[in-house]
Formats: sequence, C-alpha cells, structure tokens
Amino acid sequence: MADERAGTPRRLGELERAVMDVLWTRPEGCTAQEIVERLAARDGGSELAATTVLTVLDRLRRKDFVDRERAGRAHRYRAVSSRDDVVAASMLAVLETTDDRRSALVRFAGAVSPEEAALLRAALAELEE
Amino acid sequence: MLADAWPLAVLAILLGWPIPVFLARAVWPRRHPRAAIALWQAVGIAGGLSLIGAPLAIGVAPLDGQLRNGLAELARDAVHLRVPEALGLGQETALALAAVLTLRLVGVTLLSALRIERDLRRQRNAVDLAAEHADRQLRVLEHAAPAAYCLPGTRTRIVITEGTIAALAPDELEAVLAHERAHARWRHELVVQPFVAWESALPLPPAHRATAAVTALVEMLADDHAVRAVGRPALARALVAIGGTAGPVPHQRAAGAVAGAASTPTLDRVRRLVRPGVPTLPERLVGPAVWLAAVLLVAGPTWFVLR
Repeated sequence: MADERAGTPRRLGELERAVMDVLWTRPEGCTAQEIVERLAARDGGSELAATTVLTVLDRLRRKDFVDRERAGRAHRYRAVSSRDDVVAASMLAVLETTDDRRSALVRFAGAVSPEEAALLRAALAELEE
Repeated sequence: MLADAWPLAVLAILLGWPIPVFLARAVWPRRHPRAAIALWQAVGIAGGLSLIGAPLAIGVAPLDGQLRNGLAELARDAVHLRVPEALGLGQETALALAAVLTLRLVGVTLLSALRIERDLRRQRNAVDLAAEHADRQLRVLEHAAPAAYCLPGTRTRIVITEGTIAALAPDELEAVLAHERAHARWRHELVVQPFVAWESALPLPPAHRATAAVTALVEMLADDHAVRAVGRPALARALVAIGGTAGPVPHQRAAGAVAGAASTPTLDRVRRLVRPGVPTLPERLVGPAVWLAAVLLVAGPTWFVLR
C-alpha cells in the first residue's frame, strides 16, 4: 500500500522519526534493544530487527542528532539535544539570516520594528477602505 | 596601444558602481520584477567579465591591442614556459590581478554553494525529524513565533510554525503557502545564490545592494504567484500579520528597519499590493526594453572582445 509505493527512503525517514521520538522522551538514553521494545509496544506490532534499528541509529549519528556511549556490552544512545532545542535552533537559524542574504533561505517576511509595523498597518487600511 | 583595455575598463567601472546604485534606487523594477532580475544578472555577468577582461587587456596590450590576439600570443609563449619580453612590471601586475580575481570569483562561488548546501541539508534533517509532517513538503514547527520559510533545493521543504497558523486566517495562510511554493517551484534560490556568492567574493556596497535588490525582487515574484492564487487582500493581510509582529530577536533587524522605515522590503511589497495601478502604454514597454538591455549588456561586450 502506501508504504510499498513510497519505497525504502521514505520508510527509513519514518523510522528515524520514530527512533528520535523514543530518544526524545528518554533523556537518559536507551540501548538499541530498548528502542526495539518501545517501538513494538507503541505500534502494537511485531518487533523490528535490532540490526535495522542500529542502521537507523547510525544514520542519526551521522546527522549529529544522536550520540552514544559504552554501557557494558552494548551502547547507550542519547539524543544530542531535546526536540525543543532542535526546533529553537531551526528558528534561530532562520531568524539570524537577516534579510535572507547569507544562506539564500527564502523567508516569507522578517521581524519588523514598531515603526514599520505601524506603516504596514496604515498601508493595509488603505487597501480595505 | 590599449585598444581593448579602455572600453573594458570603462565598462567595468560603470557596472561596478554607478549602474548598480542607479538600478537599486529605481522604482520600475517593482512592476517588472522578472525583467529587472534578468538585468541584474546581466550586470553581474558583464561586470564580472569586464572586471577580469580589463586587466587582461592591459596586460597583453604590448603584444596586441586586441585582447583576443594578445591572449593567443601570451598562450603561445606560455606553452614554451616563456614570458614575452615586451611585458613590463605593470603588465605583469595586471595579468596577476586578473588571475587572482578569476580564482577568487570561482573559488568563493564554489565555497559559497557548498556552504549553503550543507546548511540546507542540516536544516532539512532538523525539520524532517523535529517538525510535524503536514504533507510531503510542508513541515510545521511547534513554535509560537510566526515564521514561514522555504528550504529550497531538489528536496524542498516549506516550513511554517504553529504561531503562523494561529496568527492567520485560512485565506492568509493559503497566501503564505502559495508564496513559498512559488519560491520552491521556480527555484528562486538559484537566482539569489550567485549574488550572495559574488557579494562574499567582492564585499563592496554595490554588490551588497545587488543582493538586497535581487532578494526583494524574488519576493515580489513569489507575491505575484500568491496573488494569482488568493488575490491581493489576503496576501497583504498575511504580510502585515507576519511582518507586523515583532520577532523574538527584533534587535537584529531594528537598526536597518528604523533608519529606513520610509521604505523597507516588506513595506514595499505591501504598498505594491495596495496600489497596483493600471499600466499605461509606456509602462508596458518597460519590460521588453529591459529584457533587450539585459541581452545587449552581455552580447555587446562579448562581441566586442571576439570581433
């Protein structure tokens, strides 16, 4: 069905989000096996192969969203920053590109001064007369 | 003889200073954003080529007044690892300057493209993981400040915040999305990025003005698409609602915005929507005339050098 049509990249993307969702609710971190169990409990379905979860964790590590430390014979994986921090960093990256010049990000409209806001409202009033 | 050098030097100076300053001040581009962008691109290309061509022509002038023949002669000697005896220190300095400028323009452009690509990939990863997926392209960030932007490229993302949704009526939100989709669909980043790169290669006021002007024109192009989708009033209201809200980091824009409060990019866009006006006949001729100027600006000097 939808999943089959979308192919592997989309499913990997969905798995990455699911794994991040688990890690974001567990700031103290999880082993890969714990992630497998939590995902199975959440979806009420069969368990994913541990190797699949390890592959996903590896991708997330390469993207700098996850790091790991040794915990006995396994690794404990942790989100590098909380979901709120990731969102805040995204916002800041956009707001910092003043007039969108530095990174060619195109943003709908920037923050304005109170003076500009008043002029904007005056211009709009003209339109709605 | 300096046959080719003088015209190229004059062109480089004109395109490097008075023309960008004049073009940045002009009002007609607001009505003809597409033609104006083409003219800015022509100014950039012709400006860059004449900036490199002028010192080259000065450098090879003792060999041949015509740049083309002089370069051919220089190349023949270079193959035999020889510097022509006719060249003095002045000419060698000019040739070195041309080489440095070329390397700098090419190098900075490549670096800038790589840096932008890396930033975009990072941003795309972040919103893909941390934002709500509204559809294949649209991501909604859980944040109260209104913001809407496009992460351009082959894997485009359009990002809005929950604050945006809360601040806008449905038709206004549709206007914002139509605007961002136009950026994505028409790959506007490919228009803006070369100017960003040239500005970092030659950080001079005219380059800065060119980037600012082209960025504003691209916004106007996207506005025109949004107007076709939802009409002027909804877009104008959306601009005022989002642009009229003080952002979480207002000090960053404040300096520029207060100084130039009589005309800011957002204000220009709203005024343009409020007073569209009816184009008169001369007004209609501006577009084609500007396109012609853009073509001539690149074709003319190219013909002159290759003649």
